[in-house]
Amino acid sequence: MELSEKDLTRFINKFQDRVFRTCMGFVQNSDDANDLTQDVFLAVIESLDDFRNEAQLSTWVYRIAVNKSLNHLKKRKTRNIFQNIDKLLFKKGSGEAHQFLYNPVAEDENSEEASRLLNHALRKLSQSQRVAFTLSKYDEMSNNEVAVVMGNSVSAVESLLFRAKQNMQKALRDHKF
Amino acid sequence: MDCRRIEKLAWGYMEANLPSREHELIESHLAECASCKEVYQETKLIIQLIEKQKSEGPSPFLASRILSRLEGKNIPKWEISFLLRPAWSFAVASIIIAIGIFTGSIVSNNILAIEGPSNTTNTEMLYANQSFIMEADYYIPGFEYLNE
Repeated sequence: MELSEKDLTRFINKFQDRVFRTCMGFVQNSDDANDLTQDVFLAVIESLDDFRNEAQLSTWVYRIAVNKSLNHLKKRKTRNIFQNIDKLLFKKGSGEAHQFLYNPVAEDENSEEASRLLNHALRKLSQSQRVAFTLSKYDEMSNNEVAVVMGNSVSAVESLLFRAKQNMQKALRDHKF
Repeated sequence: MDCRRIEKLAWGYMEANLPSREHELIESHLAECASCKEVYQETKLIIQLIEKQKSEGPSPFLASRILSRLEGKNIPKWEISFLLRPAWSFAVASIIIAIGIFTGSIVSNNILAIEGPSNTTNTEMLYANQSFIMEADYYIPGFEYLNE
């Protein structure tokens, strides 16, 4: 499929805000979300020839955004394991530079606490609960739209969202930092 | 209303999605229960954070960065990198090996024809070589003396 630069720019402008919000919902960091949004569009544009009109273009874009974000989280998890081993072996964890690099950016104590709580609560969700929660809360999709992107029924999405919120509440109740 | 029931309804309460009766019951429970109030305040904090994160937008240079990355990708894609894909490298390696085997078999056939079978004596080999050279209408360096 041949697309001019103008077409590509229009396509990116149309979807960039929602793709960015999806990525932000997963990675919780605007720098990572920007990098990931770029990767999502590159993957979408490079595979436009594979797109079949069985699904809407927007649905297909969100599916790629979700998959890329989940892969990013998996890689980050592996990286964190190695960083923890590194910290244990070389005791690098106490420096200010390390704190700055590996902790989410927070403007003040309140948002730092909120960021910590949100990360803690999100970690308690299953993968499908997290996808449903992110698409619903960050992208403000209706349950019907979430169901289409996830390839689930609307009732399954309702159940996922209910359990996601309940698990987050439970995580906040039980949290011990 | 007990704490477990609050846990189930708290999110709906914060999003104002509950019937007014349940809304009132939760409010009166939160006024009495310190533990639920703490969870409620924490949940409120993370909902506010989500709203704040949602208000952030992508970089204004996003489109231009993507386009420049696409330009950079086109050059190596068709010149070199396709040869590095497993299927291509396997095909190229197979062709090189096949050419090697083919060339090797031709060279070894020629050497066998020149040297003769391995169980022949030196004299027989000389005659065999001579007849080969006489029959073959070309010159092989190193066998000039046989024609004398």
